[in-house]
Amino acid sequence: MKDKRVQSPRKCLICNIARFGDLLQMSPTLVGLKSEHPENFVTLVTSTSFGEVTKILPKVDKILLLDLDWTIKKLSHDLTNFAEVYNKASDIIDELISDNYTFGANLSSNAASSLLLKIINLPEQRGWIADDAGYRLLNSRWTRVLCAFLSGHTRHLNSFNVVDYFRLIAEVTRAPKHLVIERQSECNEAARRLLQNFSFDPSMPFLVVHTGVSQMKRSWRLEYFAKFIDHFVEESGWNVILTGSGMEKIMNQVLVKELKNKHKVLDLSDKTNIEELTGVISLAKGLLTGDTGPLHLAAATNTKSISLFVASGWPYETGPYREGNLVIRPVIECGPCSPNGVCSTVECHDLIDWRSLVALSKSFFLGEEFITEAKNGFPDCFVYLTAVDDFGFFDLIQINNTFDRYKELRRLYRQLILADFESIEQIPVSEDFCDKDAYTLCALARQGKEITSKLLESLKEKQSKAFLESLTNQLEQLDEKIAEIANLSQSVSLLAHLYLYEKEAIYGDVLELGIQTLENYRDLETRVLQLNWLVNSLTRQSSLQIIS
Amino acid sequence: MRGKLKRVKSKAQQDWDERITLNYRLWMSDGVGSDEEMFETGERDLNLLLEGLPLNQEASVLEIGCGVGRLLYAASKRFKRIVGVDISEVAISKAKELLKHLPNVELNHVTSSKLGVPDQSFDLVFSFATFPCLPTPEFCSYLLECARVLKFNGFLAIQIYLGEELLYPDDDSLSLRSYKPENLKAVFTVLGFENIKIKSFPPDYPVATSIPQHKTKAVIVVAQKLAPAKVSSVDQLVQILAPSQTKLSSQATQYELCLYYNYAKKLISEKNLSEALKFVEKAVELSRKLKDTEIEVELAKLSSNLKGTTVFTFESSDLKFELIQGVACPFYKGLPLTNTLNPKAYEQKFAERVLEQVSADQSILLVGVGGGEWIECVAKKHQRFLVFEPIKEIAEAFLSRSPIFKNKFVERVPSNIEVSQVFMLPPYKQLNLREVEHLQKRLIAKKLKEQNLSIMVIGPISGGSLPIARYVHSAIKNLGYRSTLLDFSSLANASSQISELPIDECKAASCHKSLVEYCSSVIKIVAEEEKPQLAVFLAQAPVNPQTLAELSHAGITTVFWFVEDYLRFKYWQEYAEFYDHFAVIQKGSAILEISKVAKNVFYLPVAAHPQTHHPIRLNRDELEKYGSDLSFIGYGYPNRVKTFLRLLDYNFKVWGKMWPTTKPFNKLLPDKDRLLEPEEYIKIFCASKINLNLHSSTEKDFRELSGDFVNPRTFEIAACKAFQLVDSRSLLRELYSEDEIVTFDSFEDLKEKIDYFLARPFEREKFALQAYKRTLSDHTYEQRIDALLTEVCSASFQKISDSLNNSPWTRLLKSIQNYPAAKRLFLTAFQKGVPFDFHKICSSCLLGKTEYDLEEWKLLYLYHVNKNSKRFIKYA
Repeated sequence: MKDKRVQSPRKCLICNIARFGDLLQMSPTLVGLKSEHPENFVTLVTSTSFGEVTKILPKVDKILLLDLDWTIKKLSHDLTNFAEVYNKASDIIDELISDNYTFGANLSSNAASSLLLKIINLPEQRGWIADDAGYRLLNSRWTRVLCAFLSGHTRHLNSFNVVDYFRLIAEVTRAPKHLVIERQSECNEAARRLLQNFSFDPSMPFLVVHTGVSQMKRSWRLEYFAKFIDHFVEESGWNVILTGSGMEKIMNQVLVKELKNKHKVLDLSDKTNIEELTGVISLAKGLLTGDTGPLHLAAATNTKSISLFVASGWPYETGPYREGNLVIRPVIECGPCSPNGVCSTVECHDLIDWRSLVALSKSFFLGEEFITEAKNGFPDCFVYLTAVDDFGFFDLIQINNTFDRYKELRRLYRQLILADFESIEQIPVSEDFCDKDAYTLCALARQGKEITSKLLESLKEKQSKAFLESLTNQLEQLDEKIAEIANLSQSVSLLAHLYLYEKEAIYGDVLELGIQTLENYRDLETRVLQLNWLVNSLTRQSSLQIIS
Repeated sequence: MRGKLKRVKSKAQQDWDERITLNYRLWMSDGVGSDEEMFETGERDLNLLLEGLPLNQEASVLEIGCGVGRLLYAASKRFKRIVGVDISEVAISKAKELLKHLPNVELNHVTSSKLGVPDQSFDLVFSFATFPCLPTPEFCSYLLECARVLKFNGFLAIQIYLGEELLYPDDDSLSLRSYKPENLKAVFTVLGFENIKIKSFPPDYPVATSIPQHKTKAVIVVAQKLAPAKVSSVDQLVQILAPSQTKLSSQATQYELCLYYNYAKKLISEKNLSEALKFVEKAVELSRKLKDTEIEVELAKLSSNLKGTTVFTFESSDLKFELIQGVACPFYKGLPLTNTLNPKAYEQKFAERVLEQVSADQSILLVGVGGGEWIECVAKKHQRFLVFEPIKEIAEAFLSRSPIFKNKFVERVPSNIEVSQVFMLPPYKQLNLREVEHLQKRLIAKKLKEQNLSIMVIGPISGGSLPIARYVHSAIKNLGYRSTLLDFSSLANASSQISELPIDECKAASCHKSLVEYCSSVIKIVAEEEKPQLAVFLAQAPVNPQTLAELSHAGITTVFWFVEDYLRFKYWQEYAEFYDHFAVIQKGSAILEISKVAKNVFYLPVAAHPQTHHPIRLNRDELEKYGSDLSFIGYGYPNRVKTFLRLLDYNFKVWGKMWPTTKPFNKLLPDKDRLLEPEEYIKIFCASKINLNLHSSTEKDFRELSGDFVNPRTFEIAACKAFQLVDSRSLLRELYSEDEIVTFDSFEDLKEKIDYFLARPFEREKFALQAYKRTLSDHTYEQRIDALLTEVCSASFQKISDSLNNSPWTRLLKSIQNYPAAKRLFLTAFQKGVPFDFHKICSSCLLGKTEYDLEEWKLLYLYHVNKNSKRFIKYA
């Protein structure tokens, strides 16, 4: 792995205004920045909505909160007071400019945060930034590859966790292999005080269940949660604490009503602040949840968790960043689905058997042997154990034997990207194409190289404008074909997307653009050939079909 | 003798102090009008005194009896050091004020003939019009001093009277003493003066220089100090100078009376009555001293006249002045043009009110001089003003007594005069000064017109005013306002379809009514969203009265621009009362009739739209297709058909709809019966040698003899720089002069002019150019809308102002005055008609640039925050 050592201290601006969970997933990056150089100064910019979470984030020297909710309300409903909104935004931006940061990373993909970095105009910027015309620019290979995974139908081929993406975008090489929070003991104390008010004895083992119904399709069916809780408390003798925000409160009340063993369940929905929630999870023996913020709190407080990744949840991406946690993902053709899509059936929820989950939870949380249950109890699901690979990257080890037809290709892409971006190994190339799309893509890349070379020569020879335009048109047509492959191919869509994102990021005068374009086509060609080699070598090793 | 001299000096000082205080210019320079003129006389007299004397700039000079510095001013330009002395403290004080900017002039008040300067300290001593008024001993005392203070070779130049010996009592400070020349010479000799020269005044000297009854005249005596004085006693000098010692009785009082009386008469002739009265009363006082009953009575009569009812009357007998409390109050046709009880106080108070309302940098117009007091009061505290007095004689009377205001007066009030406010002396309102009223309207309206007005324009479904609605919309935008055009022309097919349905008229009318209901509800919905200040409806706009009432109730000022003949199209009667303002293209009886039903009726002719109507170059094919000697575009009204049938022999093309397609008329039709697009008829205008512009008439065979309004075609042809012949219309000449548009009255006249102008292309070009220039300068839709807004904003000021204050755009634009980029963004969006939505505003006016400044980046940031709102709120 490339080890980037920083010689002089940096004043770093980290921007993340996306989600509660994202902030926690950023914690290794924050720790990593500080460990780079003890005098590094780290400022975090995030939304007021997550202001509470910042109280437990580690190694942040300054926090700037953007009251986006208030801003949006004013702009939508009270535009006559625009000056007030503008002044507020302006004050923050001016403060950021005057702070003279030397390094910035935007870890949220929205345009607003990209523009923030652009406006401040830092000498070094990474992540999602903007160009001079205000258009998004992906100023980091890892940003581009993440977008490449997310933009097409290749999400299922992504095996990197958001935590790793964040730290690599921020160019942090040495970082903890788990999420980190501060003030854990204070949080525990706060939790104890809270539980006392409810006459709940925290020394008795309890499980935290966070239904996460605010995410609707990403949250396991409420009735299953209810059945799970009833049987779990009966069989384990443990108590259960329900957590959730205001949005979960009503649904959890419904859930509690359904329970036979209500007396064993304490509903703390909308009753905890962040410290108390953190403390409650920290004091718990375990957490059962979906792809939610509390999952990351559990990873940070080293509380064992079982997480259910249904619908659009993708455990590689947002799984709990700490070794030794269980992740269950149903096997369904349509998953992971689009986060914005609506699903009326959510069949994937039904594939997780609540009874098996009770059995698994009992053994796992109690520290007993759980592999058998994990292997056998979920025939329609993938059951993973979280891990960290040899290169320090988060990984999921499949425990059960459910067939994952994308597993190998996923691994190959992981290998390819790590080799390319982090120079972990040298992958040979092969002209033995793994499929037709790969062949076509490679051919297009080679054509691109040829035309670009001609273009560069023509520039030097000062050829006519018409001639140059015709070459440019050819390149455009070529790229349209690459875009088609990006949209349609199963095997090489990612590489095509990656190329297109890299194309977006080129800058400079005509000559510089030409040189970068040539490099992009070369990289595309190399990656396809490397993929060929990887696929072929794997095929040689086993008789598995990699590409269906 | 010395004690007696001292008492006389005090009286002399008193006398001169009084005289100078009364009117220094009268005493110093025979009452000239200004200090400049006074100093000019001083220069004249100094030249006389010093003519031929070998003195350079370095000479030190003393004037005895300098008064207010009449000669010193000129002397200061010639000599480096001047000293002036006078016994009058008032005179010296005034001199110091007038000559404060002259550092080389020293002024001293002396109480005796002792000059208080060292011996032999001056190269020149002069005196003019001083020594003759002094008693002889005083005079001799001064002469001794002159001999003392003059340097050897120095000069003495004085003005005195020589001839007979005329002496007056010592307490007489005015009568002119005269001496025998030989006696004077003797005095000069004993004092050491030689080279004595006696000069007469030139015959054209403007002031009388002789006293005819006494054979004595004014002279200039110049002498050079070449020896020490042989005498040092005043008495000895008096003996030599005036051996007779016989004194005549004093003439001072008569002289003063005469002076005052003549001066008063001069002031009366200048209509400066209040000043004249002052001097008449002074003369009356003096006449009492003289106990001259006859003169006293005459003066009393004059005084009474000045104070009395009629002082003088002009020939017109429309104007007279009354002097009330010293203020000349004008009466015009019996109407007082100022307050007649207490004019001074009234006008002063009015001036104070005016001054309270203006700031120093504002230029204002003061209308009506009245007694003139208020003008003078305003002038004391405010520099930037102009004065308009509609009655010439009042202006002249005022200027004659206060000529310094000459540059402030304007003879008329043009509409483009640059002033911020107009103040009219209230009595002048009776005069109904149109131009001032118009200016006041313009200034009131300006306050609103300078703000961001939002205007809705509603056009008809079809018809002639449809393009006008579009032009109005375009003009409003060009003027920088926000315009929303509701164009219902897409419903034209629906409307004509109704007529083709197999239903009776009643049902068809009901269908049409539904269409109008639909359009009305659209108007209401848009108005609710847009919240415009004004809604301008063009003729035949599809709206029902209820909607008009609702709009007005919602704070929107409604205007109807009726661009049709009010006699031929009477539907206006149904709607007129529901509009706040009603604009018409006719005057006179049209306005009178419509005003019976409608509010705020005003004249507003149509115009041209230069972006649409402009000269174009045509290629050969187009010239062939569209060109002809004569052309006409429009509807085939009967009068036109009948007239054009008589022009078949010409190369004549008729375009448009409803023309007979049978012979022989079809010969004139190059195209089928259809409406032309604007692009086409512009080509026709430009391609035709003569465009016939015959206004339509349903009743007359040729033209409407009483035709008044001017049709849009007139302006449109002119804007295309094309030549036209227009039938005479009563309102045409207000819009275009005879050098700009040619008219015809009869068919014969038309034919003659067709033949004349066909043979004269340069003349056609000349007329076309003149009309084109006039159209661009005065007859565009921008100008019409500007005029409409002046009318509407001045009359509905409060309503529009309230609407503006409540408008979210106004509040927003006000709040971001100090943020240039935000101001630019929102103003652009406002003017482009973008809805009041931040996302839409930014999408329309901010995105897509290749470079942004810092402020714009901040706006872009906020745009994206707002755009991603769902995402942010969701993840929260």
